[in-house]
This record gives sequence, C-alpha cells and structure tokens, in this order.
Amino acid sequence: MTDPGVAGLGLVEVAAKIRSRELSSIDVTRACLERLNGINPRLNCVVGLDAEAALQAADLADRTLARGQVPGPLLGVPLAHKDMFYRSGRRTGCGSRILADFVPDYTATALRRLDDAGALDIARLHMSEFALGATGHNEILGHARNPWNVEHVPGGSSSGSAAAVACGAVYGALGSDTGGSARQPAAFCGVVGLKPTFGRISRHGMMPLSSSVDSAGIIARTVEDCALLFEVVAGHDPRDPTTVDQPVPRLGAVSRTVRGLRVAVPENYFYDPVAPEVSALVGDSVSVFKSLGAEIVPVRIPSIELASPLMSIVVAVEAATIHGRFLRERREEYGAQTLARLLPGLLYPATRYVEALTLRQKVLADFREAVFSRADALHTPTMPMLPPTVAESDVGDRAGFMTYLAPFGQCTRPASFLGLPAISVPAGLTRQGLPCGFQMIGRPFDEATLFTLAHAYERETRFARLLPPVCSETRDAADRRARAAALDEPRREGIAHADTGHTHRERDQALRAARGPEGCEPRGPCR
Amino acid sequence: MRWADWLRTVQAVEVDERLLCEPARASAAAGEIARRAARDLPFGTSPTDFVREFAGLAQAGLAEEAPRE
Repeated sequence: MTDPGVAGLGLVEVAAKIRSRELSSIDVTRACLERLNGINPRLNCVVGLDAEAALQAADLADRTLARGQVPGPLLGVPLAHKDMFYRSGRRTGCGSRILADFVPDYTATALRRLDDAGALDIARLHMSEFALGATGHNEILGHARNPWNVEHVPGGSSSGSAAAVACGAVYGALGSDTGGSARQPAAFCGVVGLKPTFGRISRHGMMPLSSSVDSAGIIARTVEDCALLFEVVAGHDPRDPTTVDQPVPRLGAVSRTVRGLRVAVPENYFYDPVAPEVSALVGDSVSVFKSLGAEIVPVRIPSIELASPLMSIVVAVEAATIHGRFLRERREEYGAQTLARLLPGLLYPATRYVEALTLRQKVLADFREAVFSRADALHTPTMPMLPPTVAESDVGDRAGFMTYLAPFGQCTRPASFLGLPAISVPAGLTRQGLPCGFQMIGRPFDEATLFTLAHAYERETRFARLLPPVCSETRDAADRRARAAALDEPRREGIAHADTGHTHRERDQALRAARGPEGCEPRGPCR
Repeated sequence: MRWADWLRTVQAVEVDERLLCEPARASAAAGEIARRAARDLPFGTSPTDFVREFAGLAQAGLAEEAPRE
C-alpha cells in the first residue's frame, strides 16, 4: 500500500489509459479492491462489496475494448456509491437497520447513466443513517473515520464516498446533498464535492430525505474528474419531474481562464464564526483567485441568516412525512440521534411549513441582488471548523445535540435551501495535517463557471494530488491500528441504549427475533 | 392538548417526553423567525413564486454567460 500506483491517477487519466489499453480495467479494479480492503478496517467506509462481480464486470469491459467496440467515456473505471442509490436486485440499506434488507426492483437513473457510460459499480459505501448526519457517525453501521487521521470524523452524510475517493480506492462516487452531505465530507477528507443545481441530476431511485431540497452529489479527487461525472449523470429524466431540460456543460468548459470573472466574498454570516486556521486557508484561496486575474468583490447578503432555520422547518416536515410509517411502526429500530432529528418534523403546523417555503423567494431575491448582480460566484468556507474527533462529536441524542451540530451546516445550507449549485474544493492542510475546503456558490444551472474557477485554483495549488497517510501506512501499523479499533468495538456494543436500557447487541437480537425471517421492508420510505 | 398527547392521538406515534422538549422549543423559535421574515413579503406571495424567481435568475445567468462561451 506504500506505492500509490494506479490509485495516484485521476478518473480522467485512468479512463484514458483504459481506453488506450495502456492499463486493463481488471488490473485497475483489482488494485481498487485491494485498496478498499486495506483501508476499510481502519475507515469503515464500505458497507458491501462483491469482488467477484466487480472483476467480472472489469473483464467484460476489457473484452469490449478488445473487440474494438466504441467505449463509453467511463468504460472499465471503478466507482462506488453511497448506499442509497437503488440498483435492481441489490441490497440498499440507506445506512439503516430498517432498510438493511431492502432490495429494490429498479435502478436509479444516475446509476443507469453511469452504467451506460461503461463505469463499474464495485461497492456500496458508508453513510449516516438515512442521510441524516454531518459527521459520519452511524449508530447502526459503526462510525466512519477520516483517512487523514482516523481519530477524526470524515464528515457526512456521504462519509464513505468521501473517504474512499480520498484514498484513491475508487475514482469517484455519488453521494447526496440535502444540507451539505456531499460538500461537508469532501471538505473534511480533502476531495472535491459538488451539489448541482436543484433539478440537474435525476433523483429517481435515490433515497428521499426532503423532496424540495434533496440533490444527488458528486465526489471526486479533482475538479476535472467531478466535471466528467457530472456530464455523464446530469440532464432531464422523465422519471423525475423535478429535473429540468437545460444544456449540460461539457468537460471542455472547465479549462477557460478565470481572468475577468468576479468572485464575491461575504462580509457577513459565512464567517460568523470560523476557526482561525480555516479562515487563514480559505483566505489564502481568495488570494490565489486574485493572482489568477479574478476580481474580488466584497458583498453583504441580507436575509442569508434566515436560510438555515427556514430550511430546518422544510427538511424536518418533509423527512418526518416520508418516515411517517416507520416512525409509527418501527420507531425502536432507528438510531437515537436519527429519531430525535425526525420527530420534530411532526410538530410543525402546516402554515409554518408553507411560510418557510414562501420565504425562500425572499431569501433568494436578496441573494441574487447582493451576489449575482455584482459577481459570478460567491466564495465561502465549506466548513466553519476543522474535522472534530470521533469521540468529541459523538453527541448522540444528548440534550443540546442539535445546538452542537448546527454549525456543521452553517456554510452549506444556504445553497441547499436556495437550490443553487455549489462546489467544495480542497484548500490545503492544517498544521495537524487535516484537510480544509472552500466553497463556491453559482447561479442556477451555471456549474460551468464553478468548474472553471475551481479547476483554475486546483491547477495552481495541486492539493488534489495529495493522498492521506492511511494509504501509505505499513501493514504492521495498519494491523496495530485495526487491533486498537477492535478493542474499541465491544465498548460500543456494550453501551446501553437510552430508551430501552438494552445494549445495542441485545436490541439487535430482539429486533431480528421480533421481525422473523422476512424482516425486510420491500419499499421503505422510498420512491 | 399537550404536544405529546397530540402526537399520540393524531400522528399515532408513541411519545418520549424527553425527546420532545427540544423540538417544541425549536418549533416556537422557528415560528418567530418565519413571522419576522414574513413581514417583508407582499400579501399573496406563495411558495411557487420561488420557482419563478429561480427560473428568472437562471435565465439571467445563462444570458450573461453566453457571450463569454
């Protein structure tokens, strides 16, 4: 694991090398599987993996090329996705106990488009339970870990996607992004995370959390890789009526110069407050844009502080509605924090929900006037803090847990609520070697400008080529760490559940017995 | 009727009073935010106006982008 080998390549490079038959898909896939198996005991980023099926698919890709057939743009490239994108006949657990045995009978449009482009789907990746969580904790699956320092969280809810991509174990991954679930772990793990414009990528076959806010997300090592994945999966889908038939920017749009582009920098809200090291690194990235010829425009954005609390109402109500049946019938199967986050949605009057949706227009109008009348994109931190340790952020459903978690979404939630595209880009490492990211927010359907700005920055700084230390650890060190983690596991299993007094293991056994052999939920709260 | 009773009877959800203290406070706080912000909106504004605003912004953005392509 010390030589990055093919893991050091980006998606665009490896796709080109497979197409030209300089590399075979089967060798690349074998390397990815080895890396996934190597990092997973330390990172807990994989939920399911079928090595034999992955190698068969890779072999088929190689044979397709050998026959001289025209390859798709991602032919033979190993990807893996957050375990909430449905694939017909394959288990999709959504990070939960409730849907642990859920086997969909149709395939998500985003996955079908990747399949059509020739990509391989080699694993199901860790996520927060039902995509509710910004840290990467999961009471059901165990907590995921940050590849830059396994004592720290990877961010969530697309925790496995960010961790696996950061290690070069796959070349890209789908996540989701309701309040920042792709951008937050991307920033904490040192990779690129995109939340596209609302309506850009089909959500057909993606587990819903909040219908008027959810987006699919894309996580990749470089901006170019992210843009290629976006090009493949974006576009109108008759199966998702919220998708819009707007032209999708091609990869060529990424390489334009940034000279003359205007980058807005907020004077309020987004830095209230931000950790000093984050502020310094994000500030450095502004200087890079300036040196590249972009114009920096300070802006003050009225009403922006309303976005997050209003979005809380919308997401809470929609999530509680989607989960209504499970809240009534299988409540005891939720993790404590997930349950405590879902229940408030039952408490809001309908008038308050409609008010919140109505006020979106005002917040967006103010944002447009303050930012887009003067600039092409808004530049902010992605996260106001560095990744905390797993232990310090393991707040469960203790009193005040939402107050602790609220700052995690401070910078990402405005773009979510307003439906705007946003990208998180690695801004470098702190003194402790932890990643930090900045975010750019653009006009609706103008992902091209975000890619252009982000790519120019990336070329100038090359943070995207860094691999975390967990990838170069010797086997002995990895074994020592795995043993330490194993010693930790019985303690987690032995923790008594707050509601019942039973340990998690006892509760699992009782639930399995109560559910009987079928146990699975054929449809769940899912489309 | 208390929230807990309302939930039990209307939503048919079993209630844990400990979990519901915070949501009840959050609901009240969010209501206050919505009331303050709503004062700036003209009478008759509806959630669908967001869609018009969004579409208008997208059009404006794309029109502005076009000459640089």
